[in-house]
Amino acid sequence: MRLKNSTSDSSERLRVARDLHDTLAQELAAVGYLCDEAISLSAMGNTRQSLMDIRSRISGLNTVLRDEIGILREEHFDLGARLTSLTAELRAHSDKKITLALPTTFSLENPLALELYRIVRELITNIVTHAHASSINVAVRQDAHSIEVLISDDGIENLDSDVKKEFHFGSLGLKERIDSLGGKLTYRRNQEQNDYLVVIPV
Amino acid sequence: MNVSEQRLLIVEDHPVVRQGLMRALEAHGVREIFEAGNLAEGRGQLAKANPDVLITDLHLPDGLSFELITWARKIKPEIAIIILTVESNPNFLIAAAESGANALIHKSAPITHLLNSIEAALKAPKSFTAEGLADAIKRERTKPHLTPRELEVLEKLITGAELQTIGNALYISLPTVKTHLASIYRKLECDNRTSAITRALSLGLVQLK
Repeated sequence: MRLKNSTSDSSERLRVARDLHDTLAQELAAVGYLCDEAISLSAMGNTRQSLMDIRSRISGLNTVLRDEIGILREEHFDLGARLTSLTAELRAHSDKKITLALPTTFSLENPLALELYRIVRELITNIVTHAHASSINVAVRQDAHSIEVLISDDGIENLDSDVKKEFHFGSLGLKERIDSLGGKLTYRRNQEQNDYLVVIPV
Repeated sequence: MNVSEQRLLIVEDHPVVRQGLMRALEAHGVREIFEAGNLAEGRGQLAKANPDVLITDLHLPDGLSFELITWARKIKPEIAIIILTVESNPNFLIAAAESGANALIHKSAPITHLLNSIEAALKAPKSFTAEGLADAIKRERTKPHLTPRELEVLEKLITGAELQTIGNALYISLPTVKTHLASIYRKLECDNRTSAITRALSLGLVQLK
């Protein structure tokens, strides 16, 4: 019975992955190309800059979508392995130096691990897109009470007015995710460096 | 070599992507674009339109596009071939390079990236580039290396065929089949048929048909 349940779960996940791949991912790709058309037909100036911002967001969304499809296709979510492949992919796509330090052992139950991964992914991709950083370091630590992820970059200061208030920065999705886990996000500008610390109780 | 003066063939089964791609390319001055929605149409258009550039999706309703790519390269060695995909499976990278394509590009990449790749491919039709290729090659090196004969035995094994039947199909004796099998088990670090098949599939050494 258990086997049957898990089989139907995994076939359902694969079905959703296939649907996303065949519909949403293709639609997003098409919207991206239409945006490219508009950019090429527009004159230099503010309109063109706005279109290029939209284009960069569409590409970013598509990367996240591809990552989510990959997660759906996996039998077991492995936080360490996912973070490793995410940083490897970002390294391949940019000229930034990205390091990842994982503890030798850490254990995290699945819904929590996946949520934490999404939080960290959003923070890192934001930094890659907006911070003009040349190096990004990600370090994960876990003790009996909590799991901590420290993300540091050498980019420009994050001047988003909400950024310095705990919980209140980035997209609504990020805030909601951290809130729902009872966690905390702090930002600190420290010697030409940005430190983002995510702490989630376990 | 100016891309806008070339004849392009787009093989893509999603009409929205095909249309978006054509409009973006036209906005960049490309005038001659031909289209196909599957492998069969793609083959027909290759023969009829004789394109200088082939842009193809990886997954098409009638199969993967590797066979079409290999054929296109064979009939026109100087053709530029770009695979567009939403896949991130690194196994496809090596297969793409071996098929004769020049680049594998994600569909989220801006059109300028595609145009640059086409230009590079027209200049060097024997080249291949893709993001993440270095990592894929590293992973490939750590994979067990099976001989072509062992791969043939493995492919038959997956169909569920008896060892004697495999021997007959490959014109080798039963003891020879068993020798190959022992070697396959050793290289894949397995001790039975089921685990060997599972491992070979997960490594992407063979594919279910």
